[in-house]
Amino acid sequence: MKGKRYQINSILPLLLFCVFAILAMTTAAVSIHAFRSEQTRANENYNDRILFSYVSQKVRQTTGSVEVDEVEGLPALVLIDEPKTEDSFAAALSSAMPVIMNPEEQYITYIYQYDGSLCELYIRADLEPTAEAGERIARAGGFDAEYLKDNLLKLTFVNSAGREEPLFINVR
Amino acid sequence: MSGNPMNRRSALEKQNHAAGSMIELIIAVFVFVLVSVSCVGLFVQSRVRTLDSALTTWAADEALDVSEILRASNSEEEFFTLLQEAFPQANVSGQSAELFVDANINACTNEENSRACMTVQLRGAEDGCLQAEISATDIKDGDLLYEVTAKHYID
Repeated sequence: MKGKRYQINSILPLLLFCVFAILAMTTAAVSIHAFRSEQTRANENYNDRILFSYVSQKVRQTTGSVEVDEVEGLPALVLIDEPKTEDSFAAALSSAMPVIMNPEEQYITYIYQYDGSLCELYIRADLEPTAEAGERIARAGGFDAEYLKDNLLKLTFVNSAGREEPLFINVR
Repeated sequence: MSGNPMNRRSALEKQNHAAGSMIELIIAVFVFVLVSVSCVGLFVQSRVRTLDSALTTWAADEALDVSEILRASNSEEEFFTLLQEAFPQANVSGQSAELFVDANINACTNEENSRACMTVQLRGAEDGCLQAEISATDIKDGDLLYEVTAKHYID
């Protein structure tokens, strides 16, 4: 009888400790999962905001035309700026650095998705664009552009979670 | 043997030690439960806030999209045609349209299982001006998520 009581006395704290450890681990695991999923969602949201703001701002800043084309078979948004001959800043810049920029030449901005990122390529109009040469803007799983109407542009981004996010822009 | 005072004292000390450990553990578990409950509460609150933020962002984005579609339209008919093309799951009836999304911000066709609703009410093209009142509501608690009026003067 005495031996049994002794056994229970030593097993009960051990059992309680096991329950405590299991609960602690479960809570930690659930918390980590919750934190990670919230963090992922917040990051995706932030990344989407960057994409939307950046691309819509680029389209609105374009002084020439906005077209839909391809860069090495990838759908691309083509922003064609007018030559900046009237722009005093561009003229000053070109006189200071003639190798970098000639105001009389036309430049084109290509926006497309390549290798998991939305890329931007700013090159002279007479040069052939290559997908690799672009600068990465933000993470994107896909990108597509189409005109629903002659002045209504629909851009579709696929974010890192595989979700399609459309953006409509009235092109003036 | 049991009558030996030294053995009895040793057994008593062991019992006291076990009881002490037990009380320590119970206190630890109690503290742990208190902390866990508050942590879980914080995580639930964080999740609710993230969802609210996602819904508000959705509402602002959709309102912007609808505004852009309005600016690209030259008549009421064209506006609703473009809106239906842009949002195939929108319910268009008369001069208004409704867009529903669930808690994961996926488009729904009806109010059932939806979490938020965006309503677009067109106010005619009087004086050559198309005006749309766009509002988004959280269906669960009835809160207004976003409200904006978009105008477009037809060329």
